[in-house]
Amino acid sequence: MSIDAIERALRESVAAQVELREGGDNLYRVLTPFRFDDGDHFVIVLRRDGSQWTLSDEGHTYMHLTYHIDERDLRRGTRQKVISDALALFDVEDRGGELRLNVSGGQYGDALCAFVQALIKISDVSYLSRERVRSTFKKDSRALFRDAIPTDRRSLDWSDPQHDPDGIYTVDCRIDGQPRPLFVHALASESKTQNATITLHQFEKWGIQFQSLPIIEDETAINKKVLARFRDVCDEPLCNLPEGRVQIADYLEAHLSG
Amino acid sequence: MAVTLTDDEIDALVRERKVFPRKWLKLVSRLKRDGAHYRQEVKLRSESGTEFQVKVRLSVRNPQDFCIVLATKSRLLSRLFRLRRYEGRGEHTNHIEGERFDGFHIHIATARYQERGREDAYAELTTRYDDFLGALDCLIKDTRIHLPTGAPRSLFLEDRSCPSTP
Repeated sequence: MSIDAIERALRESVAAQVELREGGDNLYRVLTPFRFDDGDHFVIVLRRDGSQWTLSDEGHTYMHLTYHIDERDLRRGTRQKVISDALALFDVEDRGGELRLNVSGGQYGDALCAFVQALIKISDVSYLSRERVRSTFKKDSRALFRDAIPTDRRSLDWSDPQHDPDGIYTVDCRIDGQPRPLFVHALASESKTQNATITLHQFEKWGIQFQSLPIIEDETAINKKVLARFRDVCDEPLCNLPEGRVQIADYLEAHLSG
Repeated sequence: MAVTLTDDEIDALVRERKVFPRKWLKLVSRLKRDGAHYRQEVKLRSESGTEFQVKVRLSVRNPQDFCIVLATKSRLLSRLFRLRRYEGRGEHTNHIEGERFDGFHIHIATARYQERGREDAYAELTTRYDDFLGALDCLIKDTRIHLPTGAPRSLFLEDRSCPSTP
């Protein structure tokens, strides 16, 4: 096949995958091959207001992301930055949760490409949640500790000064105020889980009385045996961050109020 | 991604008898607006004590754009695992099977799609419902959710309830 023929074939096959279907008054659904990672295609409509044509997602993109992510987590931290950068880069407007891009100069193809690229970048924040992006998980867990626990009742990266002056056995957050302190472990990885297991065993050997709360991002990323060994020393339910942020905050609040 | 639940385990969870709490009607009557969509969630349990959650999302602009999710969470699972999603009208592609379609569809968790990173990426086209209430009715029937004592047997006054799975 000649390169010209390949080029023609590419253009025809790509063009054939973009289609307009009437969807109502001055509104057309734009069907494309681009989709979320669960197989659902992006929702894109072409709408006319007066003489202006506008591409819109009709609010679907954010709604779709909330199938997997807490709404609040879309509006802060790394995820919020990814979204706002994508909007700025491709001149897409967020109007009350609806993503819009006006078509100017009759450049429908350019507008559609820019809009789709913005949607792809934004939908990637869902990937950010599933991947063990340690900076986000650690940042999220630290933010949770700071938001939910008063300063005078929390100690980050705590170790026992009496038994462990070198700070070898640490917990991510120690919470005081109850007869037994609460030790919170943020299990970001397999090695963190193994370290937490060893630490809790050592605390038991030293006779330290405590309660524990494990926070985890993705248990499927941790070897089942490693997790099982951790469960031998901590039988509290695993709490997921970010999905279970509200439940974790509620639990911490209940613990603080005794 | 590792397979968390096998197809048999998924099927068993779907078939567990569940009971909605008394406040279940907030899924329909007390939707919260969040930007350009409405949302609501209800927790429920099966008779064996397994925790489930039903989440609904509904577009403000387009009443045919919605999603009703049945998810589960147990001590072994640190996150919500999406068992079924009853979707509004839209395009979908099943990546493994290479099928593409447009319409109301139901996402079903599978082991083979878990290996690819998304348990609920497989979907089937459906004609069993054509609106949000119809989809909710289908979810209730398909996943053996029972209404609390004293509640009406169906969401509908007339018999326009969701037909059973063919």
